[in-house]
Amino acid sequence: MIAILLSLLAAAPAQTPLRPAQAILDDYANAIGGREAWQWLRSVHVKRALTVTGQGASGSEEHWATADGKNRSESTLRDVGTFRQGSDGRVFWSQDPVFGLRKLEGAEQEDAHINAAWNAEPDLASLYLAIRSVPVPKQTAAETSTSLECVELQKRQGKPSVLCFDGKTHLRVVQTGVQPSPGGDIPYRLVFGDWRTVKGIKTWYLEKMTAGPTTMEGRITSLVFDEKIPASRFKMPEPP
Amino acid sequence: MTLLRRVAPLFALSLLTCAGRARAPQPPAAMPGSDAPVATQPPAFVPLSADSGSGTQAWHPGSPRNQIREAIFTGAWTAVRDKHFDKTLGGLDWDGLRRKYEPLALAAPDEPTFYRLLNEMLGLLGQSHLQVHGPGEEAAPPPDEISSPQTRTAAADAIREAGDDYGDPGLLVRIIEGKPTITRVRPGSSAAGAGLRPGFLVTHIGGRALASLPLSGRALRPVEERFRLRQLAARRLAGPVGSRVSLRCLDENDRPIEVMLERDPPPARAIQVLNMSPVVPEVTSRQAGEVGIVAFNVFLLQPVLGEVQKAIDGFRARGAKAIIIDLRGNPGGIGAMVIPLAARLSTAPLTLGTIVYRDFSNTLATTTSLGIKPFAGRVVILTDEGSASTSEIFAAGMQEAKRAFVVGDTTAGAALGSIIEELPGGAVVQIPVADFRTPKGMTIEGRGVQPDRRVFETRAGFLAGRDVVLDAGLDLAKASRP
Repeated sequence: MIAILLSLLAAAPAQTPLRPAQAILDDYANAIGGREAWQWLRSVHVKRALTVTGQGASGSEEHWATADGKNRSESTLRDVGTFRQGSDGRVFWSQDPVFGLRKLEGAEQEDAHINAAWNAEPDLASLYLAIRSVPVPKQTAAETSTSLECVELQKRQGKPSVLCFDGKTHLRVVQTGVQPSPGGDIPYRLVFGDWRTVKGIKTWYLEKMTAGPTTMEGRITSLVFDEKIPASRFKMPEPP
Repeated sequence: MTLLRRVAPLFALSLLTCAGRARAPQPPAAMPGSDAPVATQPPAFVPLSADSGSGTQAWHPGSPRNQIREAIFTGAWTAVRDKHFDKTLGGLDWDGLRRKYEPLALAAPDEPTFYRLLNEMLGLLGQSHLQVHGPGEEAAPPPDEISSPQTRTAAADAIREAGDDYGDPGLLVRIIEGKPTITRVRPGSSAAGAGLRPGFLVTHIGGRALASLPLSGRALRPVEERFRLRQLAARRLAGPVGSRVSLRCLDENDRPIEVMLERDPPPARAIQVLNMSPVVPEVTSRQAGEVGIVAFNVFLLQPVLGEVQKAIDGFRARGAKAIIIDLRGNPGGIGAMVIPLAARLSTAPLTLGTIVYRDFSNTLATTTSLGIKPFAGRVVILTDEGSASTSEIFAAGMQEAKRAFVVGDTTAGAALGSIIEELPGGAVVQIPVADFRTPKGMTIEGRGVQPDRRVFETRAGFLAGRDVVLDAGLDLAKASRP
């Protein structure tokens, strides 16, 4: 019996103390070019190709954002429709074929704000109510051989997200959380890859999202910084 | 900025709730011969003609086609295990079923038997939206249907069915009083030109009797049998534009007649959505006095939703007091369309029910969309045995919310959310990934929507040129008190 207990103890993985969340996020900020490199950017314009794995659907996405907090995204999935979301810096809005044109409120608004915050990557902690380092979630641990460090990001409203970073490169690897929607929270899992350096900053070119039974892939096809973007781009569409 | 997750809600609600057929399999451009090496690449479609014979000897273990069958079987079995909304799979021993069915399916003497066995295994779950289709799954038709200018091969079938040149002779066959009956003839169609009329009984299409269904993977309820026979008739009638199909009928005096019908071009371009079988969307609307009537044959966010919304807005602007939504024969489509449709028909927030996934659920709730003026008058929904899936979700939700009266026949009882995934070898599998519950927690799968006013259709009614379901709907729409 004692021998069995001893062997079990020997087999148990050693519990490594978790590093402080802010230290993990600081390493990430440095890994993606450092705060200094990001602060000179004035705008970004991203184009991506979308594919819904194995379900015969594809589309495209375009995103514009400026340093004064304005943003707009347009995602078009063939046969499903176009999803638009944006903010002129004051009002957060969304327009799609299912829910129509809406001003976002509550958890949806906060999420849109987090998603669209200008240059948030090197300073993620500023967007959340609280951050703390957490053990690698079981499913994430089971699916990756990489050594990970994870941080739980608590929003003001709604459930927290968990963002896991590569223990060596300090880049984002996996993010899990829930996406608020009018019909309720939708759990998602994001995997990041294909990191490239543009204008001194490092960003992921590949993003894979699994939500329920669907896996969708987004791959950057064009990334342009400091393009002049007219303010009209960010205006909320007129109601029909 | 993690942009993708913004579209998660939209896509999560855009499940296919369609009880029609999954997309016909399409072979890849390159078709290796029977001795082509496939071990180092994903199995590809191998046409039946690539085999020197159709005997069992072609299916020896390790043959390229056997590898394809194995890949299809494994792909379907695994997809159901990992994605079905019920993690317990109804308590079935899924591993045990694989052990039982895989050797049988792999040793099947031909493709129809392989797919029948695979679907029989899936059928043990007893649910709709669960099927596998692949190249060569249907047995060759008798010679009198092969009047097509094209040579009929399994590969050609697959290509043609997915193509734009697919048409039909312009008649709808349904089961009325237990018999396959013509219930609609498209004006100006080949069927109209041949003198066919609603009320004629159909005995054979393409030389094949229509009285019984091919072997199903599971026992069917009576309403499902009628639904499947209707679909079977539609499939046999459809084919490449310009090709011909024979039809044997009994006329109004029960005299046998036989006609050869040419398949007309579809009224509009066929579109294919998310691996569903190609569909020609049709939206028709008209206003009869103070009642607006809109009918559509499939739920799609593009292009159907916009047309239906436009029709509803037009009825409202022209002072309609009631709207009839005709969902007869509508097998479903993109489930998300029920939300904007219900929002157009309700001045108050409405919950149509809940989509229950494997790990979470999402409510089908309308929101206040800026700039939309909903219709506030009476709403009547027409249904029949061909109203399935999204049609049932919409009808059940509106009925339970007391926002609409349902008139007609019990619906198909096939109301699950599904995805259609591609498998190796050009096959596809439809998997039910979400259950639907009404706000009161009722399931529609397996029971259908029970109409508030049941209307029985008769052959005599069709021969007399009447649409008794629409008549009942109009009566209810116009009544001062329903």
